[in-house]
Amino acid sequence: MDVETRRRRRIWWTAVVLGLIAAGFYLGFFYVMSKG
Amino acid sequence: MSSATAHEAHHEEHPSGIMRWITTTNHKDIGTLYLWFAFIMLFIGGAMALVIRAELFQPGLQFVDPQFFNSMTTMHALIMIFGAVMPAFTGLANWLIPMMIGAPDMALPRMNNWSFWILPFAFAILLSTLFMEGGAPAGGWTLYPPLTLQTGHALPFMILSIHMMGLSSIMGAINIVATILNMRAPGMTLMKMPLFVWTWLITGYLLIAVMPVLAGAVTMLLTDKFFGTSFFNAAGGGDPVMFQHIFWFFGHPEVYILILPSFGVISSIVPTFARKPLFGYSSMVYATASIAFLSFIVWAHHMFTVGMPLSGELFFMFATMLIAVPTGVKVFNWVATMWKGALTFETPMLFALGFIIMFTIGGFSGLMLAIAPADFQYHDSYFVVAHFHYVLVPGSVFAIIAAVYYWLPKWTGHMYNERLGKIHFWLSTIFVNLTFFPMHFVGLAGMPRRIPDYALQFADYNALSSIGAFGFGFSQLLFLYIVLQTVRGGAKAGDRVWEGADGLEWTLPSPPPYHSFTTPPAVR
Repeated sequence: MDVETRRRRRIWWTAVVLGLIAAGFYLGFFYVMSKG
Repeated sequence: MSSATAHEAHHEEHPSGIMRWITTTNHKDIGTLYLWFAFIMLFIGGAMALVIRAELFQPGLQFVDPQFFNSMTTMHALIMIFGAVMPAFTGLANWLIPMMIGAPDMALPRMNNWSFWILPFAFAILLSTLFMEGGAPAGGWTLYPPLTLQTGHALPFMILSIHMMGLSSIMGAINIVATILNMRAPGMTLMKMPLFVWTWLITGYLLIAVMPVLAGAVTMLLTDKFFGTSFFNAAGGGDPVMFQHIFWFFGHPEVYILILPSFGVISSIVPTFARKPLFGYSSMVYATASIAFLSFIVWAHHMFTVGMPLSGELFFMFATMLIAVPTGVKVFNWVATMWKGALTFETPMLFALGFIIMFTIGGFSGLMLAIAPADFQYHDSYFVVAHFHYVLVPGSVFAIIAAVYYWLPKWTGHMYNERLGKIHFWLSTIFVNLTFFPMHFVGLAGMPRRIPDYALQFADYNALSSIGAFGFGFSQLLFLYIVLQTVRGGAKAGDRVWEGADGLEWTLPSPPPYHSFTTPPAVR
């Protein structure tokens, strides 16, 4: 795997992890609130 | 670099005219779009501020009815925060971060385009509520239920608009973090990055953590209003105070989202015009990270008066005061950078100095508000309005203006008119203080915020504030003129525009090529 492909993969993984964190915060608040 | 070369070839036939701007994936074009969007929103939000100040020029009702007045305060805040200051900093990030870290572009250019183009639609939806039955939202930008749930047809439109702004911010933040973590030139280690890049990296994390919280809160408002839930409805077993906790869990880090990039800008400008390296670089990085961490554990200082256990009030009081420590480190470092420096006072430096002095005034009034028993007196008074306008206007807005003067010659290839820039600075500084300083006095004397009418004893200071506001507002037309004049022409700017400037962006031509660094630069 060349340097550029590795970089593209790292960028996508960074974006996916950060996106999941954002989605987790959104859904997490609903979960906490629905428990009262 | 084969893929970068192919990328460049692909972009050689980029479209022109309007399609260039709609389809662009170029970080500079998108930065320009963000900055112009923010400028337009500054004038729309500013016009709303002038409606407020015109009404408050004298006691009694003059121009607008109270409902519309409340719409103006609500919309002014939403537009200035989400439409002006945040997009302006995202615009600066787009323009500068790839150039500062030695990258050809942002990591996710298509998402970058999408992040921007959501915004005009979000704000078109928000502004359209002004023409709806029941008027625009008038419950305050904090959207507290049950008051906000009394909004007419505008409520779902405002909530959709806030979701869109949030989506745009989250995508922008992911892009910025992914760019900084993955696109740095070889040798550009984290602790060699310019402070502006560091502050944006930390701001990016803040945005990713808290924008979904705001989105969650407004979604719950929506379901309470239209789908029979009772998240914040006491009659159904919910808790309206819980909304305030959730909102400020977003809202306090949001305050730092609006100010941390300013710290980065000032940390770039002061060393240039002091002709000395920044004093205490690593302490600046750690101070920024500390402020970001503390911003998550201080939210309830916005709501001391709702009634909470004494231990809670003490915790939030002391945690809030703790923020003064890293902030003090920053102010100390800026002053120490200037100490014995070969100072010159070009327009960006003047705005940076104005920032340091007036932001500190706002910081000190913040410390006063942090004292829980004192806050019981200050809460919801004009003192609070004075405080947050000092940190946001001569704070964030001055930093944005300073950044524009500092990097505009790099962006356009032309020098701005220095004499007009200095006039702009002095007009802005005099009028901003005339507007906001008297608000401390009327606030301490008991004038509540968010009211269209007030008792007679507050009349003189309110008249002064209104004169200041109109002066400040019209002074920004001079800024618009200076920017347009510089974009259209003027004396040629060199690559290293400022004698003392340091950083990779100054190694590029002015204006820089379409792709900033097609081969990674050497980093010392």
